[in-house]
Amino acid sequence: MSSAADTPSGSGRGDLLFRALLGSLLFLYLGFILATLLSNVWWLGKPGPGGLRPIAALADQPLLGQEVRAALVLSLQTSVVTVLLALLVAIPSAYALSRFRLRGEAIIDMVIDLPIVVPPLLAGLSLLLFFRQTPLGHWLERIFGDIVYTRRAIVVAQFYIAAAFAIRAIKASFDSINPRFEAVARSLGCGPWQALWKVALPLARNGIFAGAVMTWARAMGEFAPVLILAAGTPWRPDRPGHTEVLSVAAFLNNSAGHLEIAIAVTVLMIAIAACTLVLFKKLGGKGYLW
Amino acid sequence: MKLVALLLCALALAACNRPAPPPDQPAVRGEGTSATKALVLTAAELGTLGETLAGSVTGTSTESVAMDGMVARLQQGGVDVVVALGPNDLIPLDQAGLIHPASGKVLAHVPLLVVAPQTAKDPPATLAALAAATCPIGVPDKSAGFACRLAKQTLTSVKVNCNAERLVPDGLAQLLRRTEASELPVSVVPATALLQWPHKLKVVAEVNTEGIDVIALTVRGSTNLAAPQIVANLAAAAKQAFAGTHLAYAPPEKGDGKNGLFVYAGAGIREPLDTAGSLFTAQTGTKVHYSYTGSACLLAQITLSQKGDLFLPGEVFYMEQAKERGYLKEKRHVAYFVPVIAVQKGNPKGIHTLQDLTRPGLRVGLGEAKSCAIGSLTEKLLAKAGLTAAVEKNTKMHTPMAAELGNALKLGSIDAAINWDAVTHQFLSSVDAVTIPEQDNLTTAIEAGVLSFTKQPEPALRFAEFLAGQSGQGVFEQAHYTIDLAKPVFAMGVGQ
Repeated sequence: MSSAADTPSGSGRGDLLFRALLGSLLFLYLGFILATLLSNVWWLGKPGPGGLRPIAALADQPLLGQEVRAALVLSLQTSVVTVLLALLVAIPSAYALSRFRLRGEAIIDMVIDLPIVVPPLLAGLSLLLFFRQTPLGHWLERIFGDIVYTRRAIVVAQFYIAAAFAIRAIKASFDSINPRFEAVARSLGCGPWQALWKVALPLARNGIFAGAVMTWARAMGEFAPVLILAAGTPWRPDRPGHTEVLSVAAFLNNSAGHLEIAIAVTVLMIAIAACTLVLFKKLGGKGYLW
Repeated sequence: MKLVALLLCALALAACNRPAPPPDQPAVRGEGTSATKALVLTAAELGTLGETLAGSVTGTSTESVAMDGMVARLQQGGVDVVVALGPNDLIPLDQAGLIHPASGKVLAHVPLLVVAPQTAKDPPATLAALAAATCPIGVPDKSAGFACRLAKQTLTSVKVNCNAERLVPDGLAQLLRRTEASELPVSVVPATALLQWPHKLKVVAEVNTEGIDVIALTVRGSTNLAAPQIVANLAAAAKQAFAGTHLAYAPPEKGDGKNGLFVYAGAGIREPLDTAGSLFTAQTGTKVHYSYTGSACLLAQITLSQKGDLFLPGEVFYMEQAKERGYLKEKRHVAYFVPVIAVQKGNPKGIHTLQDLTRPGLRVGLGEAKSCAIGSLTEKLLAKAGLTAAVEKNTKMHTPMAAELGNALKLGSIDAAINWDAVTHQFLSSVDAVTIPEQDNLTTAIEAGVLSFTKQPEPALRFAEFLAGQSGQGVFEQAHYTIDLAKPVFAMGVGQ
């Protein structure tokens, strides 16, 4: 009888076939992904026509190594600032979206998803247009100083898209908390601020961290809007204001014929992304990530 | 609450935009070592000149090494300031990240002089006259280092055949002596020679305007805080020492360009442009910032931002678009792009002509005509040869960027591609070039355009002229770009 509980609708053999078929497709795809990722590493170590391993190019040109390091540092700096800004905006926004009954909620929802769905290149062009062609953009550049083609632009471009991610992830976390907890707190004498601070936020804490990690990963990987709004100004030993984040480093080296460096940066970015995904799951992050 | 958020935003943005200090910012030396003498490394090519200059500045010790050995010497460490020949001789130093280009100060300008015996009557007073005359010309030989190269360059520019018998190569001191003794009717020497070996000679003319500069720069990684001051003192000493001589350096007058120049440039020409930018900074103090992207994207950036100083697209086509839209003030020619057929190393498929690209079973890659210049030029090239349809049958990919054709060959996804000579040269470790006969080929040019909305037109134009002049050309030549169509990167018919 116990075996019937495992296979309620048929014989053991049919079940095995069912599992094997679905499972093998899963592993086929899994293998495909891993193969493409690992082929980057494999290629870097494979001797080329001259017997030279592509990875040796990195050792040959110490400046290129420094360039990648500088890009990594700048990526870390800007993405951390971006995450802080995004959380600052996303936590209240996500709470409002989750708890308030807003008019036109479907439209608000749609607009917030737009930065994620719009092709990144066009998002970059829209940002550039906004800052340089509209009175509001000019006003913002006057207040905050030059934004276009500076490092601030990197943060703005990352924020534009990452904040949407943060709102999505954090809203999912608020949604999973029963609003009754806050209602009970209110009935016991808490104000709305206290209910948010003492009940909702602690309960959503892991979700918020997970959201922050995903937002950070997204900001690290941002490319086209950064390239357009902040310009691809590469790192040079003597150039303090470079805007070469990791993704831009991969692009610039690819288009200048340094394929090895571009692939090396790719491997680095894959490693970072894998780590963040592990962290995301560990923190109990769930829901769709886009 | 809103205000606080806004303030936080502002703070975060401001903090983020602060340039990080360079990683090897000199650490302050411990107290009591301030008396340590700064080590000034001078180019041996300058003879005693460099050491004399450095000696006139207090708190320094000097050492001298030939420009060839300078990179190795600097890598050993301990040097605080270099007095080097420039700007082009600085390329290896800059590429190894050994100097601070922005710290550069020009100490002297070294023109090439035509000298003749004092008794000479009507010696040729211009380059053209020198070329037209039939008399022997004394020129520096290889022992004179940069002077030999400079003389060759200058004479070649007026079509004097450098291998011709009328050129008499010799050491600099010998040249001066022989000219003084009327053994040679005329000689071409760098102005530094006259300071070192005073002779009774008639200086007929300064024949090149660009010449070579003597530039003092601080060394990256130097821990001596006095280094920038020493560079300034060297400049002051040089000004005094060279006043009234041919070596006096007159800094450009108008437009200081202290905000730096913002240049939109094709991502494919990054290598020479980065170097040229550093050299320009070393020579003029004006910093150069680049935005590198595909040329079409650059045009969009320019249109939307209405900001920046120069435009250097990978191809003439985009320059013309900028001109049509009224963004262009003026432009200068920099270098040429010559298409070649790029094939796998060793040419395993035996491709020798455009016609061979139509062979059945061949995998060909071409540039996309709508998005890159190599694409649009390839289209015209094949149409001219009447091979459009036949090659199209073999075409497995159209890439949006020239470099991607190189990548595709390197990764083995195609057998052949039509690509620029300079781009193909970057991939020579895994790719060979097959030349296309001149009569079947088409070429395009890289130009530097000054944008109409620049706020610093003088420095912007100066940079365009720098790229178009001897220095910029030298940089592009070293990066294997075709400077002179008569001497393409891949010589005709060699087919590697």
